[in-house]
Amino acid sequence: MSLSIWDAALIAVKAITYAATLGAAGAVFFLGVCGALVAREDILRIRRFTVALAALSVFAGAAQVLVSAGSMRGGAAGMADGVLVQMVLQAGPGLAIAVRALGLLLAVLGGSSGRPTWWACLGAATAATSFAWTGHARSLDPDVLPILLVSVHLVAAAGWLGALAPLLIVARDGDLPRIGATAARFGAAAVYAVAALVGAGAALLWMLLGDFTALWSSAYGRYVMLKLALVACLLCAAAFNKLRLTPRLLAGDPDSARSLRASIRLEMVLAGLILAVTATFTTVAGPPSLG
Amino acid sequence: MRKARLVAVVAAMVVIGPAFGHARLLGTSPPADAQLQAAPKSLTLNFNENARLAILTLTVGGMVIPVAVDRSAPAAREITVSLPVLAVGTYQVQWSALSPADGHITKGTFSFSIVGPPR
Repeated sequence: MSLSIWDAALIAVKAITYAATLGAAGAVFFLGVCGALVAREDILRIRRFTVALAALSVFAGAAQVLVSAGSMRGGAAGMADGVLVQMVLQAGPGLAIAVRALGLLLAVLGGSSGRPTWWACLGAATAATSFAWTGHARSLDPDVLPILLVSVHLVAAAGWLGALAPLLIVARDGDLPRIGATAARFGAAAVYAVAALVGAGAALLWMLLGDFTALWSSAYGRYVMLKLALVACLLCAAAFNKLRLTPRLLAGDPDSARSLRASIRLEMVLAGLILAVTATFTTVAGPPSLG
Repeated sequence: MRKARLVAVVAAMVVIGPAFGHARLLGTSPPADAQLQAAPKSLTLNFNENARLAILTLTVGGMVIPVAVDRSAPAAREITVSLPVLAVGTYQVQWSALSPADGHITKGTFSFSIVGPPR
């Protein structure tokens, strides 16, 4: 089957929803971990950025429902077909959007003064894990462990990838010791996020693929291989930040802040590609284990 | 340069190959590419898991044949729709369904022909 313009649009709004939600949740987590080190004006910038991402996430989620209806009919008429829209909402995305919007509201309100509250972090985690309400993991039987693994994977992804933009905001600050201290604290926390992300992702992959050879013998597996290659590149960039750039920042090397900004931008591009690939294979390919 | 990168990414995704998962269609009645001597009274789609049929369009020679789809019907592995009286010809079936378990859209097309009784 060929990819129609509606399917491409569905993948695009899905990727935007992932990026906006994980970005908003990640910004809350970032302020929770590093907020004490960040300048007041940067905290305000990060909060405004969080609100903008939360709004984008809700709009993109609503657009995803309409585009899904359009994709099923193969035309714009599907978006105005109340029965089709209702079918999409009842199939999982409706609940996921409601849970996500509530989580983001908590995340935004709970971070409006000082460092984020515990319920802002809970809201951010709720929003990030809302994607577990739909998706392939729900089709596995029993589905409790897969949904738990997806949730861990999503919270860790938010904690790592979603913190890149706030870190870039901090890296624009001219205060090298502050940038170095923030990068060091973020790097220390990111180690746990990456471990959880990779561990949960690997376990989930094993359940969904069912067989190691499916990595190259199925369309789903080949998309996963592309994602893993991008994740490997991202890990290399993150390791470079932690092991080479952060010590230079802490030592006061004036060129290191510029290098950090360039490296974070590269990581953000890679993260965007990873989310685009994820949106693609969760839309167009079914896991082999679900035959 | 940016356009070249975008084209490369899109090309990589297309080469990897869309498969449109699930629910997956296991078979149909009449089967795809069937040559029937008599017009079928109904059309059945069999899925690997429960699905809700959203759209089913039947065309012959570019002309749409009205078919009633009960979109309020509960999800099922086997979905049957009644067909009007069909004349000799090659019919195209375009369908899309939704998996209630995970919200994924599945769609496809197939055709069958009514050739009439043997002479």
